[in-house]
Amino acid sequence: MKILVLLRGWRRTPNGPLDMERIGHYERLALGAALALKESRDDDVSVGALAAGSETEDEALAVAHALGVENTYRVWDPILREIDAFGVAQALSAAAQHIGYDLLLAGFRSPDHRQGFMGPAVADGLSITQLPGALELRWAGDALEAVRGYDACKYTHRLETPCLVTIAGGPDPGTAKPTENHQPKLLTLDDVGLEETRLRPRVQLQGEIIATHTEPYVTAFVDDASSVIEHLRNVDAFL
Amino acid sequence: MANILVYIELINDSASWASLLALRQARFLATNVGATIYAVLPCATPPMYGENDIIAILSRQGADKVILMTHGDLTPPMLFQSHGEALLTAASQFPPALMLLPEGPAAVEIGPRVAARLGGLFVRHPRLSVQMGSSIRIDQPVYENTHVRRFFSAELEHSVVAVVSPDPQQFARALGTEEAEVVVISPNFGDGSAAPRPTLVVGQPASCQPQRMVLVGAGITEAAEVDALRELADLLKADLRVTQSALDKGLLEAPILEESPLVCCPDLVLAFGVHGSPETLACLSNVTYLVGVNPDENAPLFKRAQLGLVAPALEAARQMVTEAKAHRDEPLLPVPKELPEEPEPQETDEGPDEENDSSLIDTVLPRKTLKDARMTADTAEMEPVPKEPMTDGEPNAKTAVPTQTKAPEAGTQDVESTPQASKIDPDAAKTGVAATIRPIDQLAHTPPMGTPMTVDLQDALAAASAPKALRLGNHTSGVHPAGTQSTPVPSDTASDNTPEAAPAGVATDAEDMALDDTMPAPLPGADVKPAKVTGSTDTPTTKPQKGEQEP
Repeated sequence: MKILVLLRGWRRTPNGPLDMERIGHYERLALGAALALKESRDDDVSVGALAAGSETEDEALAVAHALGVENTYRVWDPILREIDAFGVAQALSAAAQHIGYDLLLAGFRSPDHRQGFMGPAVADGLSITQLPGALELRWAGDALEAVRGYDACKYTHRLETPCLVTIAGGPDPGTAKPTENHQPKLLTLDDVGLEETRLRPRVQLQGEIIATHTEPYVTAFVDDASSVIEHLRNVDAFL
Repeated sequence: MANILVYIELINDSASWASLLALRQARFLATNVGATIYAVLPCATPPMYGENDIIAILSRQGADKVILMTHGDLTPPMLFQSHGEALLTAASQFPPALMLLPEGPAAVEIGPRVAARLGGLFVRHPRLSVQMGSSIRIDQPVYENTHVRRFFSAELEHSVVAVVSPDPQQFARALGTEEAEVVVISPNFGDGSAAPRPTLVVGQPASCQPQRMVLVGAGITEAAEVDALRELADLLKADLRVTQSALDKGLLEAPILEESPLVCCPDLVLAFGVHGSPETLACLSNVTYLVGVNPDENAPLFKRAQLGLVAPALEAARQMVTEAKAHRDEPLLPVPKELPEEPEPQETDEGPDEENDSSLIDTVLPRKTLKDARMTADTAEMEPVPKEPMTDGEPNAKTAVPTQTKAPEAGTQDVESTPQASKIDPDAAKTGVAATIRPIDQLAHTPPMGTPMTVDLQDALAAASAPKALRLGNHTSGVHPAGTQSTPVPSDTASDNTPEAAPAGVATDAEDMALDDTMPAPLPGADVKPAKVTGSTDTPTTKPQKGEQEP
């Protein structure tokens, strides 16, 4: 059984260094889930980690290695700098296919872009089952059971491998000092059978990164409590 | 820009509040850039009809057309393999320039993969604004809101799939006044070769959380406060929840706030006595509309709440109870009672749109016709399917003439006054052959009222799946397999290319819109003062963006 965890280094600015944590919260949980699955099963389970990008990503893979991930891989081509997430997902899909997997795990959302896109896009590229936002993940024989939050409820699903699950809860793998001089296996687009020209159309979709502060929420203050009810009545039929 | 698709999530057979807000946001965008809004409504069973049914609600919120997709697999919980494929079916029929999904289950479950399947751009929580009246500017906050990724819809060759969480205050008013057309489509779940869907383990889902809640924090210390909040919760049909710190104080026993924002995603939270610890704010990160009441104006809760009131909890709760009771029986939104008078149908020789495969479109009907269908079933007749016209430059369909039918004329049964609710025929969504159901008085070759008919509507729709003529009484109707019709069909492309008349409540004047960052008019009614953070007196509704600067 091969588990492959998709990782990405966590940056706080577009071209800055990685955050001290190297990887985001949900990606840590994905690593934790993979390692817990490995521990809970007697037979042969291997855990690998895969990233796409420049050598900076090696720092993130070194964290994974230090936590107990045996094999790390990085796929790289200069065009990966210029394309959008879907293009990167295509590269990851091809790399996962090249490496081999039974179960793909990814963080629910990255801390920088917070899109929740990469996992589902990779699953789509591989035409495999996906389940997003698992809060718990465990073996059920040769299959998996995943608990997830959905529409204010928790549901339990059974999944057959191969599949991809994005992780939003579960055990934290703890901390470990990144392995020094850890070198992942480097894969090129040629290695994974992907032509650069296939990714070229995605260049326009990277968008323009502009430094500007945005408030996610804009609070409006009212003077009295009756105005709150009036707001609610205007917003929707609550009463 | 041609089409904007808005995914409508159903919760207990009602459209989620987030969905309606997304629809309102789409209405705003579509009105300003000239697009048609399709509300995509996948459901397991046909919606019930009543005075204030879901189609009427979606019409009021701004939908031009409602794509109704009914299939037994479209039950919760939502999965990409069912609901996502249904949405992709709709997208294949009406290729979207922009697809909006409300924040919530759809956003998590199907949004990213639908975007991937479309090869489109996926953005979450973007700021969408109209740029020079022709393009939508898409600013996606990244890097902890210190940067944005910016796109312009006019420059993109791909569909944009956006997960939106519109501010209810900016999209507060229902916008539509006319009835939307209903387009019935059969969802295409592929040929079975796709990846298997995750199997739901048998059993009831656990830990279901309410859609509306009154949240009690540690700042609530007196029994009188608790009593007032209980009464308020009852009036708002909300559930009481407590934070961990409030529970520790032991003043009241109520379920604790769910930790995971994937599980805690209510439409409305009124938070009393909640200061706003990082843990609590994380739990509340998926709340659609958060109202914070706290005597401390610097409470971190106010950085997350859309609406804030600086006041003691007891006083505020009692005042809200009084206000809520006073207005309990008032109607909130005007419900159109009658369809506006429609011009005569205009025929056109325009053929089917070659780009779109219409084989999945079952029916294109003004809603009222569907509503009438059962009532006039005994006198219904099958007609060749009208092809849904779709062009890139299609004007907003609110001005288009729904030419497939008119409102029933004198002599037909007045279904508005019929007390019993009816349902859209479930077979209509399963029928392989498209059919239009017309009230009898509009059909030149239909028998007069009272003529006995030998086939009822159910049978007629079932029979329509066979590529043969259907005999209704002693009349033969023209039922053809989809795509094989040759008779001229009515078209709703009769309207000119002028922008649609703005629905009530939509600001269209240029002075109402900043060129760079167009936003709807502020919420009327409530007396809103600017945030104290800015001290500005110029912005009557909300505080301005802090320190926004762009190169």
